[in-house]
Amino acid sequence: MDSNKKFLNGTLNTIVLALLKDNGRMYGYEICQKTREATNNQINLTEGAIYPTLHRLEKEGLLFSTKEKVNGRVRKYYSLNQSSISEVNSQIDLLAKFAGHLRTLLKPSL
Amino acid sequence: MNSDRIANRITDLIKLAGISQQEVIDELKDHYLTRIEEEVRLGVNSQKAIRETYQEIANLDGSQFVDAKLKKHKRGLFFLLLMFVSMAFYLFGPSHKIKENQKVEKEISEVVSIDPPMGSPIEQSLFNVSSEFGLRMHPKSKKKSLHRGIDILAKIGTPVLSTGDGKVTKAGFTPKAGKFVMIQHDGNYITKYFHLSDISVVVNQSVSEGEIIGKVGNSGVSMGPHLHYEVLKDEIPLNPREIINP
Repeated sequence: MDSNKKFLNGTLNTIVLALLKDNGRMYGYEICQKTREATNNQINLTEGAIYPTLHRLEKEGLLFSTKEKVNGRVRKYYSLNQSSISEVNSQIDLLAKFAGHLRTLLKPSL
Repeated sequence: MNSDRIANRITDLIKLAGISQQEVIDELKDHYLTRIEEEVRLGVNSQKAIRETYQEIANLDGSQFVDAKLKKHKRGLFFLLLMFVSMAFYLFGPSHKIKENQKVEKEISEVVSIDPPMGSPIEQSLFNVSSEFGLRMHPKSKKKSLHRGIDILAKIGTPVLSTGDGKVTKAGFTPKAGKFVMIQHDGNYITKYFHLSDISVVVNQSVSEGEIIGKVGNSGVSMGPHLHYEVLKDEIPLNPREIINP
């Protein structure tokens, strides 16, 4: 788990952007849940990681948020800004390429 | 589950973690409540889901939520502050800080503490208390003594319900209590149900709030059909009147 945390440091932004690109609007808990499901419980995003990341991306203008009342409380949903879609695509693309390089580099020891 | 109460406790805990922006508090509150609802939906015991969530919030580090730029700005101020603090520390010693920490720890332990079993042992509409908790003249011995629970009048055969989730630790008969059931709940709470006519649970059985555990009777030292109901926390009897959810 701790080693995952180390790798997440540089990649969490892009993971969040990619999830939002695929799923449209999402709220924080949903992002944590989706990540857990997709990785078979191997990647567990903590509140201390996911929310500051979402807030930062929103401040940078890549995301915008909307609020809705659910079960009598406020839920904050995040979506990609249409104007930032090309930047998001290129970030995802870069990370995917990097993951490919990693796989090649690590292959001999697998 | 009293959801307002849980929501309030969650808010308190988030604040204690050092998070002060209302918007972030609301967002985290939604996160934790969703988590509890989700786990309960998947079959996790609600008390357990709530307790684990409280614990997780108590371990939350609020400084992660402070904006990075602000942090940098703060660093400059920090050294200035450090000078003052070290001076103050030199003058007043460490006792103040320790007291502050103890206060926060105490607050956290209070907020994390678990709700007592708040259900009603007999369907609310049938609720008719004939003898309250506290000092009273014992109806048979005629001596002044502490009544450790409340007596609820009800017809023989009226279902008796577990007042919270828990585990049956005793179920049997004594000459005084008659047929009785004892249930252990989270948070070191125990509930006892005396003078039953019928017991429908066995020792070690898990029960949930509202589950039928027996029937009202007149067994043991009893002057007529009624249920004697007790709630104990750390083995000290509490007034059930103040615990049962109205």
